[in-house]
Amino acid sequence: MNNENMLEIKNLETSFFTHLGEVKAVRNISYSLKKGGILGIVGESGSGKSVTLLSVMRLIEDPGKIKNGEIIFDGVDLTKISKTEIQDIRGSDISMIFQDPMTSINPVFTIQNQMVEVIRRHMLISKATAIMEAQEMSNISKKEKALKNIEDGYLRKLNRKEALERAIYYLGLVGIPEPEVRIKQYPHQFSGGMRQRVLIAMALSCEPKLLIADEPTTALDVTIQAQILDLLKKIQKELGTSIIFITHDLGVIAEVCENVIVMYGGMVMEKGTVNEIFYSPQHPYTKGLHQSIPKNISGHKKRLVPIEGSPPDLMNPPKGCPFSPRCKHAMQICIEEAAPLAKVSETQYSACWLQHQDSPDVEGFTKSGGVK
Amino acid sequence: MYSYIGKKIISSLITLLIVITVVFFMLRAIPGGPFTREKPLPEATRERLEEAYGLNEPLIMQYFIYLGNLTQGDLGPSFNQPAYTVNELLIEGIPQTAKIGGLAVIFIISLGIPLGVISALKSNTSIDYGVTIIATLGITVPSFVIGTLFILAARDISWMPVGGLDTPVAFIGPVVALSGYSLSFVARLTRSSMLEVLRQDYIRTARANGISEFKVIFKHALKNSLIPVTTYIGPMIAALMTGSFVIEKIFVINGIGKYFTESVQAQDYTLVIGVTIFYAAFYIFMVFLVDILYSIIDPRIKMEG
Repeated sequence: MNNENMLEIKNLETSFFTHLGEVKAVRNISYSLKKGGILGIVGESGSGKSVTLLSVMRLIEDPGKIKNGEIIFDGVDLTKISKTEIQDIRGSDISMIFQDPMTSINPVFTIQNQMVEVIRRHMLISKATAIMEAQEMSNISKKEKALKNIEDGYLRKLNRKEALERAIYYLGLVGIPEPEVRIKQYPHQFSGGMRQRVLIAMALSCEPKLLIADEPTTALDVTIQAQILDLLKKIQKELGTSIIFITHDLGVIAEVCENVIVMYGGMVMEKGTVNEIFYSPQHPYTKGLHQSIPKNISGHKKRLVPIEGSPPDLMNPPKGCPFSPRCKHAMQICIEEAAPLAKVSETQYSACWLQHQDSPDVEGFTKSGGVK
Repeated sequence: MYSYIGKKIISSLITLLIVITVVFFMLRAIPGGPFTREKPLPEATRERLEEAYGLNEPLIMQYFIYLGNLTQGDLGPSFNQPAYTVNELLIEGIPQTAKIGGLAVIFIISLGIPLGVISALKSNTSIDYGVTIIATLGITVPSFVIGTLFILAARDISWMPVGGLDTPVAFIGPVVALSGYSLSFVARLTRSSMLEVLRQDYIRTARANGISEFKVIFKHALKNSLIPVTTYIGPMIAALMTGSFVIEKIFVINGIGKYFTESVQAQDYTLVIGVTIFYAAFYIFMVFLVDILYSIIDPRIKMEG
């Protein structure tokens, strides 16, 4: 695999086996995220965007199951490792923040209690600190033993005081005023925006390589949304954390992301850089999304164009392209077979038959150099 | 905190006074009296008895005399068992009842909550169904049936006494029979509450932070799921500690449970009010304790009166 990739998802399929039948929430998805990159996943409710990332965290609960595929994080296939191994990765190498900050923190424990718990679960003291500690030992034989242990890679966990200092540092980092006072408080003493900051601090406190943000601003009001987005951008820039950003809000994508994946019906419809997705969308669904955003360009008012119809039933998804029942360009082949992701440019791919060499010419659709 | 407790004590005393007043006057509204027999007593005897117990005074005077004695801690003589005062009867009976009740409370909490947790964690498996079936039996089968079954069994098992509380083994029957309903209820309540909590977002957050499954369940989920259970357990303790007529009858225990029923039948005014005061005071105290426990479990609940 490519060493530059932080995360690589290959042919992932996740289904929920309900008593009514199998709900195919994620159907054969592949994508990758570069180290330090910031990737946006956009799609409407039920498009499988959250389930994909919950699969990465292995947080899919019964009756859900990862049916197929590989999730390679930092060279390790997360679908193959044991429960304890994934627990070591959660919160430490990969962190996740969720949609509703009001209900995502345990109401009956203080922030300190919960943050210290996470930090002490994962963090070891740094090698430099460990050596310093060992040097200060008066007993020679003990000192030598301690130094040897450090050489062998054995480092102790942070103690409570150290974990608390770290928690306070991160609360300050995410912009919580008076963190040393606020940390002693309970979640209900924080506002929604402040709680999301607490959750971000908690997620960052063990220096994750990858932060998954599942609609982190959806439940917040607009001014707070902007603050949280700025914070996430700052984190990515200053700490070098790779971020995957799940949202249904194209505006948010434009604000923070470098690359974008558009999902529909459990499949990837289109992917590309943020400029490509915004200025030359190739898939009819992406185009539809753009038309349904309210715009007011120089006072010229236009009616919104909604996408007719409703999303597919994932219990019984269409055989072909999931968007074909709602697509005004749909052809016979669209109903019979889903289009593969066709390369439109170096960075842009679209899963539409109109990109195929043999398809009729339609304005606004670029033919690919060949089916990838 | 202190002002809260102060206010709570005052309001508890008012509640108690209302209970006493209502019971006092309702008892008198029942036709007949403590000296009414199938074969009527001679008029003169009845009058002398009523005079001796102060029942010839106007009702309102009797009420204030009773309250006056009560402030001295005197619950009056028992009309039906003239050799004893109500105080003596209670002092003798309460320890017996409390032993059974206390053991039942410990039994219920230490078994009911773990059973509920296991049932929730293994929901919709054979373990869960097993617990559910036993719990449903516990709720539906009345305590006198369970008690009677124990007595039947005791007939054939030499080391199991049929009644009394003389040996430790003798406690098994009454404690199990007394616990049956509440134990099942606590197990069911813990199960549903636990299942509800396990669906919450903060449980997912804990898991996403790599917290071990053990800590997720026994730290993050359990504390939250105990809130509704606490609500039930407070009054339950009051009910169990004040005894059960049925259990005490079946197992021949000299507790106060049986006075609840017998004193009403005999229209033994002072004894009825005596046990009522004891029960009401205990109940009020337990509800107060639950309030305090709430604020310990859930910081969102503030103690402001």
